[in-house]
Amino acid sequence: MTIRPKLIVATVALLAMSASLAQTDVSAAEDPTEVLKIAALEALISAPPERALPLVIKVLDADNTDEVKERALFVLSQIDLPEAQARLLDVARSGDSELSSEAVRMIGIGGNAEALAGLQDLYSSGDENRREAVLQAYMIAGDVDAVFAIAENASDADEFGNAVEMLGVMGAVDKLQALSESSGFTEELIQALGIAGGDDVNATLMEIYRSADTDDIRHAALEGMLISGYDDGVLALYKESTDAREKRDLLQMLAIMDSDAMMEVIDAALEGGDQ
Amino acid sequence: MKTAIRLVLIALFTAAVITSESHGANFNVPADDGWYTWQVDASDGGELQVYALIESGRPSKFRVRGGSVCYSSFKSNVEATDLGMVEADESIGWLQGFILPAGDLSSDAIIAISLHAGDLPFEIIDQILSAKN
Repeated sequence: MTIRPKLIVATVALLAMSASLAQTDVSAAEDPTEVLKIAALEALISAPPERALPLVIKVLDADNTDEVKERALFVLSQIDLPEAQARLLDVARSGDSELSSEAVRMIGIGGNAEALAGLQDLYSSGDENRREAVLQAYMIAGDVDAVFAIAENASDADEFGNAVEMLGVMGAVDKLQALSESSGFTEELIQALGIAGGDDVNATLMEIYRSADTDDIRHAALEGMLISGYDDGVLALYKESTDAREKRDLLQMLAIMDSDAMMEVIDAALEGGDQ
Repeated sequence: MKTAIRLVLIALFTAAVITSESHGANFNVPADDGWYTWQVDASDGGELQVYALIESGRPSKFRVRGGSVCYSSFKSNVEATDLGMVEADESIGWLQGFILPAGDLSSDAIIAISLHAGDLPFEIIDQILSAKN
């Protein structure tokens, strides 16, 4: 099985969770009152916005569980009224860490341009969790430019790494390459390219590997190929290498990738014509 | 015990709403097994087709179709006994009886109710949402 980066798994999980918000899962909540509230909230999704809004706000203001309030936030994200988006931003700015992060993600699902723009301040002033939620919201909304701006203005390596990783998840290869023009291909950028994947990226990773000045960059390019599942490239590098240590590293990588190319290498070795 | 009290309160609240708003809760779906269907005024101004599957004398599924809604995958060519046009509040009154106990059928009932015309669906939803945990 090809190894997947944890971020991709997390992204898929996030999207699956978001999709499931639109469906009633009566087994998820044990309290019958809560089950009915969640069903009632979901019924409001198809209601006229001006009728649904006050009921949803009432749920948010009342003493309800986080699960019920999270469903209310999802319904709010689907209401195309300025008051609904403003309320989402209010919750996003609130001190309740879990609920506010959920509100941020719901702003991403809602995709309202004004609310999305409001996340910039939240990112600047937020802690690590809040910043991660904002990046996820931008990812959900497909707002590549906003993530690119965060990467461009990052104040430290961690912040830069998180932003470019998200650009990789979003498949924004052109943005990653644009960033490389000012900073060169850093390890974070190379791995993000691997996450984005694709034929062009594979060619770039090969080029980076072959022209690398340091072992770290060479290793990052190899990891990029691991992430993108480009075993043909690793095999090609193995065949063209004349360095025993490098050939061993590349062979190990093929083993990690569980690649069928391993058989090709073994066959060649058994025939005495180690390539 | 507290849960039971809450459920009773919800039932009383919603029953009170129904009693005050409906105009004679005469509508009933026969207990013979099979699909039944009827039409009501819909919340979007059109007509809503409501379906109920009766099994062992009790409803086991609710489905609705309308101009702007089709809740759950549902084959429209199902053979159903047509009960004709029904007042929205009467249809709601019958569906409301299956909100409890909480489960799949109650979710179906609440969604179906929400698509009926009038203020009653919102009053019922409000009561459900206002119940104390």
